Amino acid sequence: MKGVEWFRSVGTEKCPGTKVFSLTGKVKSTGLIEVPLGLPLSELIDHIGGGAPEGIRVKSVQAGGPSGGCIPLERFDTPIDYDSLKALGSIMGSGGLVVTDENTCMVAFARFFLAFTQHESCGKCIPCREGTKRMLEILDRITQGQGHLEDLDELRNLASVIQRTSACGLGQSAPNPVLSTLRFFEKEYLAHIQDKCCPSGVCKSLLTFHILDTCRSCGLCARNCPVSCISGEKGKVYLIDQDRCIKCGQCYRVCPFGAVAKN
Amino acid sequence: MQKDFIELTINDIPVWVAPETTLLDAARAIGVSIPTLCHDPQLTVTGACRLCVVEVENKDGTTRLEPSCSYPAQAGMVVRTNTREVRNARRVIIELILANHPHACQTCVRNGRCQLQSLCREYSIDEYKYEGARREVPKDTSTVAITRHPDYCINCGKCVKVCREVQEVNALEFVNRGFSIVTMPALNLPLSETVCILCGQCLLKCPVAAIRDRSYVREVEAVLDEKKRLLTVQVAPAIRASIGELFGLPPGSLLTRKIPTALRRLGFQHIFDTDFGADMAVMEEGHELLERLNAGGPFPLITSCSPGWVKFMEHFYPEFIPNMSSTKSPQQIVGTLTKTFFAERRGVAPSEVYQVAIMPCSAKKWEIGLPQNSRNGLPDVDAVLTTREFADLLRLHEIDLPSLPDSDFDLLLGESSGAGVMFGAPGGMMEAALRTVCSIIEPGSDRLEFPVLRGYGGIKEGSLIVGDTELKLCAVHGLGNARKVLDAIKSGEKTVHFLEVMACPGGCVGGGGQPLPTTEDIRKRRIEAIYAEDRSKPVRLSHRNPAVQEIYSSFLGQPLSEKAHELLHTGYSAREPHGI
Repeated sequence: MKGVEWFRSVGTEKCPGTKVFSLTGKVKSTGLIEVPLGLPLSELIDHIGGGAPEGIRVKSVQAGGPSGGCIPLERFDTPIDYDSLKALGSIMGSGGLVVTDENTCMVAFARFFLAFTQHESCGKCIPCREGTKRMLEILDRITQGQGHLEDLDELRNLASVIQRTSACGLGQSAPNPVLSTLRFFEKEYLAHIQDKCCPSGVCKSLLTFHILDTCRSCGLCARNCPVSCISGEKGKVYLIDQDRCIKCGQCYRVCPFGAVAKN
Repeated sequence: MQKDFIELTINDIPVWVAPETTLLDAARAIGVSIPTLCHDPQLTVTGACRLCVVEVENKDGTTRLEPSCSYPAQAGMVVRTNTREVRNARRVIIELILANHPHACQTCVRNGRCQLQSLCREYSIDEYKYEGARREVPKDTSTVAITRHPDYCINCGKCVKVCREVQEVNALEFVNRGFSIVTMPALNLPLSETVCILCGQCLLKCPVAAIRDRSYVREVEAVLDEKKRLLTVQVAPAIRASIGELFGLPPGSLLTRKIPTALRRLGFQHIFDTDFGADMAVMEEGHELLERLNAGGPFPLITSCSPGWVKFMEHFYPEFIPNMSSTKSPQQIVGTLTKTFFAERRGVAPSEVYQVAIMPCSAKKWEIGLPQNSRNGLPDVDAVLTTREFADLLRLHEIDLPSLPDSDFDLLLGESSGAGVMFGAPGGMMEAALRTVCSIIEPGSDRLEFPVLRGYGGIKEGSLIVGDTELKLCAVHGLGNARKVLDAIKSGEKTVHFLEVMACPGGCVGGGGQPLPTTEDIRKRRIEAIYAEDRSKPVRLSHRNPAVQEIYSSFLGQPLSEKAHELLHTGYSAREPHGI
């Protein structure tokens, strides 16, 4: 109604106008927001989204939908425009903004999005059809603690070939979540591969629960265990049968004394 | 330099090409052969395999990769086809294909003739890099001629395209999507329950071994070893112009007189020639044409020697059944006469005679199984070997075809005229028939060559004035072309008196049983060889073939006689599923 001139008066010179985003994840206020292009990410997340809820430390924001890249907290000063996002290995895409915190494993997060794009592949061109499947298999291995250091180079090479040779935008952008997490969160990949550990405690294969000496043998954990794999008696430290444990985390959540540890 | 041409550089070499030329063709023009698995000049662009990617320079000095098969050349473009990144991308793509392909080269029928295998060698790929899930789809062995092996399929789409764009049969599709994609008939039907006409053009296009011959080599080998039956064989016209390619000779090499020697070494006792059957077909079909000219129709008379075409007609155009010549194909004529005339003369029961037909065609395997091609439960032809299978059988028996001494086919069913061999070339069947028909209508005129029927045109049309009749002629090859002509005849747009249809592009020389590769250029060279063979024959008219004269005088009476009808003619019926 107000015309092109008015629309172009907001935003930046190269990217004029506004953009609608879907802000979600670890922020106080989620929802659809329309902002002028060029606004710093932090402004959007902290001001409009109200920042993270109490006790939560934000780690990254994944921008652009399933084929977008993850931008780490230390780059939240980045203005939101097409070129800046591209420079960080992300995209404007569908305008999705998913804020993650320390309880998000960036490897599992990238795997989740790749599983989506892999499933959506039409199957016409070889790099997308076959390549995303092999990337997903490598990520599966890493999140299960069976990764090798060479896998990281392999992921980078596959991702780059898929990006550069796929026939359409789906294949060309499918590797973004993996490449951007490899760039900004390589440490998490290394932890999975070298230390066989998921720092965020998300990847179940790498997770163990055990009961510490501070156990007061109240039995609450055993009563809440859905597979009854916790046993014990009054006055003794309770014990988790690791072979039967399904790593649901129920014991960890219900223990009133913080005596269940996960690592 | 020609006007409107644009200049670009490929690998720092300046190239001038017409606008719209693809980078692939521009590169080939300067001797740069970029690898592809899904591109084929006969088909529309696919851009599925991405092996043909090349590096294109952007204005800002950065580069991008583009598929050269589908990317048009533009003025001032800077293209590099063999950079480190390009080679790496191609290598990764080949490795990705291998990860979803059986690791079974030694037992694969395409071993040594597989384009994927060649690429592995060219890109020095010496290990299987990615381990993981594979598509596992059962093979389809439902038809008598062609088997499908989706485990081997790389989904390049060439079979789908040749079936859709060239043959217009549409028997194959992409089923499912993403990693689960399978190239197969729609609705997961076995091939035998579809409109597939078994022409085998898909097999010729397949870069790997996903579509194969149903091989009869082992069966024929066993019969040769047993030596229990009288072993007879016939060889189709097109074989002599193509089999040399499988022994390292250039396309168009003629091995007519080597073949009988090879067959005798294999243990065959009577070496017949399908060319003789072709001469007989000319006699019968030629007289059908004369009969229809006298009766005023029905027109057009349509040839029936290509079984792929016959099956196509029965599925898609059964309304043309009254137009079809009832004459059997040359293969079936030789088969019938072997089990009747020949068996009688030798004093043996037909069941004691075994006949192998060596054919350029996969649909011939279907033809021998039709009920009308058996007598008292005995097939007239017992087994068909394609050109490729014939070469396999020769190798198995340590026979090096090109170095054999010459010898001749056996009398009577091995004696033929130049007209007979013409059946191997598109338009040749009609030309052969017209030689005889003209000579009957205008005795002594001896018209031998009909230029309008020569050459590679998909739809060749012309008219011929013979006596006081003007005959409108049309010869087509490739079933997409057949559709065009049939539709025009149906709508009344076109009048044709005599129509030749060959199912395969290039006719029999381009048949689905022919050596790999079979390209347009190779087809043309085989056609030239057929013409040369015709010209070299002392007798070039079917009715002057002494063997033909002998068969009629001592056995059949005359063309279209009651006995000829009983033995040499057949019928057709609409076939399910009805094609659209």
